[in-house]
Amino acid sequence: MADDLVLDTAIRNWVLVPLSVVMVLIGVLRYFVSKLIRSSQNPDTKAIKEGQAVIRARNLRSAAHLIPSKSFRSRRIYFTNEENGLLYVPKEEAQKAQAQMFQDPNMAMDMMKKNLSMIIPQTLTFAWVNFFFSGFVAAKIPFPLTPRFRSMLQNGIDLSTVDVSYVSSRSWYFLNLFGLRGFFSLILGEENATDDAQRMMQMSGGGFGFDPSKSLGAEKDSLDIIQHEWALPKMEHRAQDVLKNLAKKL
Amino acid sequence: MINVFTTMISHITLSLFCFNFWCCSRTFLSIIGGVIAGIWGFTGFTGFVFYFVVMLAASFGLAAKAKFSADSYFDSWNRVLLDGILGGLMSFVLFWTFAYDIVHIF
Repeated sequence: MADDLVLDTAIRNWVLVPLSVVMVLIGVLRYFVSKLIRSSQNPDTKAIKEGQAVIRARNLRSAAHLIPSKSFRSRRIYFTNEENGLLYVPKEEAQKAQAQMFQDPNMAMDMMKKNLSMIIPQTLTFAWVNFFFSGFVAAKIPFPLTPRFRSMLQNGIDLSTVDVSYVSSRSWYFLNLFGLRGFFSLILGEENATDDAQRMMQMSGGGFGFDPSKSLGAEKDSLDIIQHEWALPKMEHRAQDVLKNLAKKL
Repeated sequence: MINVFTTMISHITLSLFCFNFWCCSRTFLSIIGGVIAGIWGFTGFTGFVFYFVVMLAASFGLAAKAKFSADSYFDSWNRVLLDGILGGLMSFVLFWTFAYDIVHIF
């Protein structure tokens, strides 16, 4: 009895297809609305300067063995000296910068706008699905799941003998939610990869200036730690070894 | 440390929601593969095996096109073999369910 229920064609016509169509349309709408709403964010000069200084210091660290000692030391002093080194941040300024970041109204507004544009359509659609399409079996998923998923997938169906593969429309909604991301990336171009990815990327881009003092301090410490060793004197030995190995192989 | 963490997260998300052409073709393939799996009536484990077979064939095709040297066109073998598999899995399951239902249940 639990296998092969035959479901009414009307369910397919009036539940599955409209739900998918609605979700696709809402996604397209959200994409255009977010394009319209997005205000051009003027990047913060100070944060960018600090970020670039950190990048320069990192490059210096990784290529330290390629320049002679004196040049390395002079570069290091440029970055880390106490008076006007790029990476040196006095303690009070650090506190002020952090407090400012937290109260910055622009950043808060932008994050709120992004969150809203993601959350509201999802909430509305979920409520709509729950209201209209509950209480019946909507689809059968082709793979079996453990009975623990029953409460999650079959919320409107009160029979416990029905196979867990027969799910309600709420799970069809979730399936669509995750599965249509790929579809959107096909039809809307690459830039709309929904919710989490973009938010995280922008947070990491904006979060770069979020804790400048910590990253600057960390870079300064790691620069101070480095023992400089110039690779040029050893270069002849290295060339010799490489050639020896080659000669052996031949 | 926090910077390392954030760059790690951005790399991971970049590779999950990849912004490149290879991801496009994998998505397309997973959709088509889902429809095919549904029409043929694969159930359960067979369907997932089919998905991974299709992904492997796609990777093989790409590797053959790149003349089996990952260094000349890509920065690592991971990008050829593993990029976009998880994202495509969700689309595959969605279209698999849809096609299976339309053909076999309704």
